[in-house]
Amino acid sequence: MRRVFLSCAFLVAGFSFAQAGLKVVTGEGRAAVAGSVDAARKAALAEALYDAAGKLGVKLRGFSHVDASGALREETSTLVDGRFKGYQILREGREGASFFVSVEAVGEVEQEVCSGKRVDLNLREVLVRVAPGVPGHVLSAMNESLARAPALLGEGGTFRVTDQRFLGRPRGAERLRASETDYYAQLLGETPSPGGYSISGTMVVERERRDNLVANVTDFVVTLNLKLRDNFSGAQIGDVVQRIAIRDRRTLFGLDEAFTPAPVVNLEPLFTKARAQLEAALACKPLRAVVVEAGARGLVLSVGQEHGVEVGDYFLVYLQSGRQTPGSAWQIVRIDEVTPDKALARAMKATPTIPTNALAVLMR
Amino acid sequence: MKKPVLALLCVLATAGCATHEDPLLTTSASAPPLRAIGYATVSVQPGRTASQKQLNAIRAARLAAMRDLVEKIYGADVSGRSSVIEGRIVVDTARADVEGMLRGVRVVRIQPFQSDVYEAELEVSAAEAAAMRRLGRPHYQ
Repeated sequence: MRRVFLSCAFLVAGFSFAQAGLKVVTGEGRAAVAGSVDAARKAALAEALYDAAGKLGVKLRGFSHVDASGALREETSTLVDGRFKGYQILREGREGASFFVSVEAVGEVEQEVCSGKRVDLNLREVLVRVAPGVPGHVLSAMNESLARAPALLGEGGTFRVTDQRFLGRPRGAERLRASETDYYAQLLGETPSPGGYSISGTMVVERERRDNLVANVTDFVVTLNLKLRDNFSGAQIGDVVQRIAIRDRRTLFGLDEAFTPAPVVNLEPLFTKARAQLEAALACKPLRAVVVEAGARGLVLSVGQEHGVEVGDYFLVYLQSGRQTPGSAWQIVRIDEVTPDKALARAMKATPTIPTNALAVLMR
Repeated sequence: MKKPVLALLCVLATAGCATHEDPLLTTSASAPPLRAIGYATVSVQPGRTASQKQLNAIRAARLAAMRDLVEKIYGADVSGRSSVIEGRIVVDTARADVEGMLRGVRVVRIQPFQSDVYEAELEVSAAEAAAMRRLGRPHYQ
């Protein structure tokens, strides 16, 4: 066992919640056995890691030169520069006159993965504040539009919206506050997504006058101000601010007031713009999950098919944030079964054990 | 007379609107992968033993295939110089430079081709190739 999971030594120091892309790569290496088997094994391991690093990226440069006599000169050079969080040996052994090693490594890639996944977005409490003097029918139209907001926001391709307006705005890490939402969870079947994101805030309706010498121009101005929060850490990570003006009255010297039709309140453009802003903010965020159950059968993660998770995907599980003890601060899990909103995974290494509430990040 | 002129103008105006899809920019999952083959001779490789030479030949063949992939994805800069003095060619050279960044390369096969030659075939998915091409070449100092 020890031989198989030989080392989870860090090739680079430092362990953080890096949000750059993570990728599981495999590599194979062979070295000729010329005397010491141990030396050949080390050389094969180095070769395997080099091979794996090459899958993260190889810079290549070369030239071919032909002169008048037809002589050809060719040169090719490569530069491999990969950064691994760790690796494990999958297979090793002697094959004839050479030693063979294959490894699996978790590497960091510069480019972010911005497609093929949907993060959870909880729409939390949105307070509607109305300035004095705004007619009641305008207020009811605002509320009706707000009720349609989850459906409009849900058309986004990079996040999955759940309507949780009955829950107050998040105040800290959701995974530590589950007891506060248990009642609603049992009553309505909706729980905050501990590995996802949430938006909450205010929608302010005001009346704005823009009169000039001949005309009285009045609009309703609706300002949507939402805070985007990270449910896992509780941190505020962005703002979504959008504004829309709805035509109210247009009168000429106050003469044609009787002909002014009732204002048409349609907030769809407002939420469409908010959706575009959210898409930009969340598209390249890594898909995160929380371990909701950890048992002998495996681990249950809080994401599933609706989030774009597939059988065979790997997640990197952070065990102790901020701790830099080599080999004990992370685990890799592989997805074996997927349901619409949950995934069953198994750990790739026997140790360390994964507790519930640990954070897992999808690697692709 | 006006009608044919108008028709001609319409044809000319729409002629530039034809588009064609660059196969290297396609992200379709069904697009075939980009493949390249490289060869290397065993006997010219450095190494004390036959197996060391063999392993070096494998590496060299793989590198040659990678170079071919880079050329396919990013293209090559070809330059040449020819000088003729008094009707006689004095200098005539051609040079092709390639450079690029490869990601997600998969080994299809590495096998002996003849008694002294190794053959390596590599591939990269069409989507990866398109992504690499979009990112552009790396800039060397």
